[in-house]
Amino acid sequence: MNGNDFLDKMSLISPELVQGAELKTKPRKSKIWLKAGSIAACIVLAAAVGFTANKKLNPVKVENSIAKDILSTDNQSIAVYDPETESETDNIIVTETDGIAVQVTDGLPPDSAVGNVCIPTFFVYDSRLYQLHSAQTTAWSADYEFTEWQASEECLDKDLGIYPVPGKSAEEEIMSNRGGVTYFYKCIYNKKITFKGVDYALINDMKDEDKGQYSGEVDGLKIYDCLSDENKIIVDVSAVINSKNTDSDGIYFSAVKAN
Amino acid sequence: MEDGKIVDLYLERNESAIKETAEKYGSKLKKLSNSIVKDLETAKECENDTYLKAWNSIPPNEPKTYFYEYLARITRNLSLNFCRSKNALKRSAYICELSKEMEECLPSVDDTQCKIDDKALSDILNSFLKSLKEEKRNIFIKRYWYLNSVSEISKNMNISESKIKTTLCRTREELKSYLIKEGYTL
Repeated sequence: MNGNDFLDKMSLISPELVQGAELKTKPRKSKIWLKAGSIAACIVLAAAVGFTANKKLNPVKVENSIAKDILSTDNQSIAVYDPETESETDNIIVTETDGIAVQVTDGLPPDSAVGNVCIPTFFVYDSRLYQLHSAQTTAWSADYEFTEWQASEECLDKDLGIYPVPGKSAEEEIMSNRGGVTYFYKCIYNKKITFKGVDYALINDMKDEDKGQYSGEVDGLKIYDCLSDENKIIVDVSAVINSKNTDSDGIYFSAVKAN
Repeated sequence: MEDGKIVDLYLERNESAIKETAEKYGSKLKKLSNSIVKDLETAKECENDTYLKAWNSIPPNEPKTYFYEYLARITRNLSLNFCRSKNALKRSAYICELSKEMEECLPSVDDTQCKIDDKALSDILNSFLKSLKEEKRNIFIKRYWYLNSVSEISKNMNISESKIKTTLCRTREELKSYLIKEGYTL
């Protein structure tokens, strides 16, 4: 038998399977986010894995810290913390979120920006450290077989499966499973903001409980005082991020002051 | 009309069977053929030939529960044969490409008669495909049953072309191993 014959023999495939293949098509996703999400997730996943290996999975707390600098390049706007109290590894920033978590920020090329202002970036939660999510990991892992929408196999020479989180849009959160560890990527808006002559870096999403008085606007983003920390400001990024979360009247991020 | 009733018309040698078939599946069959031959007129010919072949093969066959798949299989084979004909050189090149890929699955390539019968090969193929993850299986079937191009599959499934190629390559290797494991010989 040669290849031609074998190609003919493919007609022996069961009608049931043939029909299944014809019916299964995947829903289209927003192309820019598909691409942006994959690239960003690849970058931050590699960074997160590197970092966690380096730190032997010991989480680091950086709550209420002041960014010592903001690195700005064409592609990035990154807050860097003091290594004495915080942790930094090149472009990686670690912070505590709702307990213990790893946060890594990295930007995307300018042509990935949305509306000329948004540089999407992702918080990364390692399921081994982030207990709040780990309870849900099993169920989600079972789900993603059927909801997989993108995997960048050749990125960084590794197989990286990137999946949607059930009930979330790709613009909000995506996840990846590597070696039994689930990484959650929560999309944030990361940008250097100069407000009243002071540089700030967006670092964290938050509830509006800390939102103080409205104090101005930068690039269409509303700025509020932070009630719990005078070194921070609260930025409403709803103008540039779509969110399905309707519990709040805005999407609030805290931003830390740069020295 | 339900598939079972259409097949009954064939069994009764009632010529309205063809009309009913054309009404229900004509456009799908033409589309399938056109995706292989890339020529609408030829696709129409293949569609019509499909009805004739169905008329001649029902009975003895009674594909009541898989009527469309039965017709599609005929259309596929007719379209493939057309592509291999001398007057379809351009499409012939594409089929050659697919055939070469298929050769990678074979434990050994030979022009001699295959020693395995169709029933046994069908069982092996289906059991192999059922063992695959759904996405992998669908990519394989779209490529080698529907003869879709990589870019068509990529658009259809919203997966990158590089991933499709990698997946196909791995699946071919796995099929080859599976055939060896199952004692497939020529």
